[in-house]
Amino acid sequence: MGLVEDDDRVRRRFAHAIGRSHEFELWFETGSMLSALEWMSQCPPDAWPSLWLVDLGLPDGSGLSVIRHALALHPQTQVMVVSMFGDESKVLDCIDAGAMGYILKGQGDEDILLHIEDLLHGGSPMSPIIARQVLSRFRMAREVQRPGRKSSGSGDALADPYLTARELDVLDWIARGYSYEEVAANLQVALNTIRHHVRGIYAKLGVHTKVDAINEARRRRWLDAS
Amino acid sequence: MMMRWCWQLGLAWLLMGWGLAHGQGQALPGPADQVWLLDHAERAPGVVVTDADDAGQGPGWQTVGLPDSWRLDGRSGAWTYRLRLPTCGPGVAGACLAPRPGAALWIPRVGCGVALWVNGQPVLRLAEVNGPEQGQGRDLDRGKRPIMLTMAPSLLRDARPGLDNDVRLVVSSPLARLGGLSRLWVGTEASLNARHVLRDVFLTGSAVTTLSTSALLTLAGLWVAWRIRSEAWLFAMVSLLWGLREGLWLMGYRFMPGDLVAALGDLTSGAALLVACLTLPPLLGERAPIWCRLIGGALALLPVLIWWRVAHSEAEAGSLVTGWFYMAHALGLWGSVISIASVWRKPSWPSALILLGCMGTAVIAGLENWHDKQSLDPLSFEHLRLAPLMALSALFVACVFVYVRVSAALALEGRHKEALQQEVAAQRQELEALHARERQRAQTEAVIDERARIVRDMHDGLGSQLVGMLSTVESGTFTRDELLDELNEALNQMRLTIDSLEPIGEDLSSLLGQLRFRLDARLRKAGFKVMWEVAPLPADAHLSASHINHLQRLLYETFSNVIKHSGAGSVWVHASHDKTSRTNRIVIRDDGRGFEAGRPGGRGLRNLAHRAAQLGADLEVRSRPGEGTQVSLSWAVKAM
Repeated sequence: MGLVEDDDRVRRRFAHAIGRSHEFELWFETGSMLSALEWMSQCPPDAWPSLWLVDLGLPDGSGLSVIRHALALHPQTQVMVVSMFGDESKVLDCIDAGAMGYILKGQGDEDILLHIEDLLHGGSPMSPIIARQVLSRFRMAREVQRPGRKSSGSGDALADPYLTARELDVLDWIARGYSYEEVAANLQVALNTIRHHVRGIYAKLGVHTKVDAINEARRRRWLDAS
Repeated sequence: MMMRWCWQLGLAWLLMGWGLAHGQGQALPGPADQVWLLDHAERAPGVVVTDADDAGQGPGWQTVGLPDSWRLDGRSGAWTYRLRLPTCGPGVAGACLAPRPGAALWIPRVGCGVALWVNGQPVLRLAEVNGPEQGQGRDLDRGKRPIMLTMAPSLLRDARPGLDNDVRLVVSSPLARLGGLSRLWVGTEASLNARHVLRDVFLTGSAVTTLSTSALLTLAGLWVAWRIRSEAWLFAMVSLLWGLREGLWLMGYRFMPGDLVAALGDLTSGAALLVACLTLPPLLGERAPIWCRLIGGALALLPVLIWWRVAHSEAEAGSLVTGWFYMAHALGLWGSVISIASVWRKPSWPSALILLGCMGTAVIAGLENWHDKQSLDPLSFEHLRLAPLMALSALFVACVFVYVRVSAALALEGRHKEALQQEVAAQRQELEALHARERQRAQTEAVIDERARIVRDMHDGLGSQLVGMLSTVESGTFTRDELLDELNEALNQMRLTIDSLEPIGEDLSSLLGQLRFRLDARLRKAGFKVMWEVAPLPADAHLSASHINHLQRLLYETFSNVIKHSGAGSVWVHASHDKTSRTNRIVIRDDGRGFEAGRPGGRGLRNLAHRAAQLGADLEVRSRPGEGTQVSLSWAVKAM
């Protein structure tokens, strides 16, 4: 596991918590973007941590650069963002950049491992504002790119970068403040199904951004539309 | 290219005019031994065609040279010319008239009426020369056209030395200007025919050409005046007047007395000149208001003059017509001076060409008038008419004018287009700059507003929370749990501030949802059961960030109150939008201990009321001790 966090106290607490675990091992930690980038560039592939915790607000740059660099070197890397407030636009930026989720600081830092486990299994929690923003983003994209397109409802995220009707439904309920349990009850599905949908939505966000770029390029005739 | 072509054409025009004016078509083919030019004759007043008449008029015969132009000595009426043409025979040297078929007499011009006797036999009578209308011949001269007379051999005397053929021409004219007899050519029809045909074709053909050209130009001018430029009616008038004049010539003096025709011809050509002059200065971009008014006045006199001339005789009105005619020329001369000065000041090829064309026209007109009215040379009587040349010159000017105008219009259009594009570009630039400034200003204002709002928010929320904590810590009476609560509250305040910076979009229900998300841990910890019934709440387009902030804080404080003070076990949140009244409604109810509604509200309630007022929403707090509390907030959504 790699850790990039500029607050020494938080980093120590995280390192301490990870040190107690049997499952994770901390291979690298730093407090600055440049040293993280440097280390990444020199790291041999067999010594590459498969999971990274990255703080966004680093003294010498943005954590986004670290995330992008890490994913560019090793696309299979799992990155989690450590955020102070969970401010939504930044979270969306991170997801776009390829992070799989975020962890809020200050909510029981000793339980960091639990959070990590949660994230690995169920994805980031989705706040109503994030849900709302994702909704408007996908709706706009859908109106612009494929007016009247019926969603297929079937699941491969990469094959279909657009959200399914059910995913949009879930987003709509979450955006209005319903908890996962309440959404599950209202839609008459299991709680895990909702979690699965949320994870799917997060997964599509990054892909969606790329598709947007391709569509934009097609619109401007940079690419052959065939 | 076009300019050079025009220039050469103009030059050719002038040279041709000059050559025709002087060449006269005199040097024409014909074997000299068969053709005989008579340049003198005997003349006597009145009609003297028989020897008996001779006896009466004996002393009247006098030898005169030909051409005999009556204008030079101011004669009119009827005069008889006697020609003695020797018969051919032994001992006759030079040309003679043999009694052979084809013997002919060719008269290039005679004015106006003529009758012919050969050896006492009447041969031709083209006017009443003997009757009461003697000298009033109408049918003659016919635009200076020639007469070819072939004489039957029976008319001519046998060849006998000393015996001449006696040929008498009675010429009549009511007007000295038109009267006269040109030189005569004697010979055979075959040898004279070429001259005759050439002169006849030139005069008739040119008259017809001029007439048709004038008609065409008149129609074209009228069309242009109607469709494009009203000034073109002047041009149409010139053409019309010229056409009328030419028509009068072509018809000869068939329908009215010759003197009247001549006067009308003068009037129309003068008027044509004046109107043409009127069009000239604008053509050259000049303004001559006084001169133009003078021309206008002269033109206004024209109908009066015409009426006057028709109603009166030549003797009474002739000098008036002539005076007006010369005045028109004087005015035209002044126009020429203006034009020359204009071209001198602002030399340009089109102007020079137009001026040249006009000058050419004027020179030809002057020559014609010179021969017709002024020249002391008897040969002027035989001169060809030059009016057709004038028409062609005028046509040339019109062509140049049209070319100049069209090219000027095209150039002007091009310039206008360019100017318009520049103007549009400049305005667009200005607009963009304005827009950028406005955007900058709006941005700056928005940033200032937002900054003020955030500061206020921190002050009210996190700031007061921290101050509260400080005093709690200072008092020393706090437990660890209390401190944790306070710290969590401070963190929550901060997250609220962060949340308030997020764009909320078109649905306010997310605001409510986000609050629940933030408070989730606390609600769960306090063991609250949340009943959540939230429908979409359309946002108001006029809702500002500060409004949304007030709404957020209001809801947060309500939740905080429920968590902190109500002691309730469950909280019920309902949000809905009423489509008919377009109102949003949020209700938060708990089943806690409640309070006395009549009691003056604490600071918390006052805060709620203040925020609701800022939001423009109705706030209703309903509570009774032991029966929980219900806070309802409703506001109308203004039209999007």
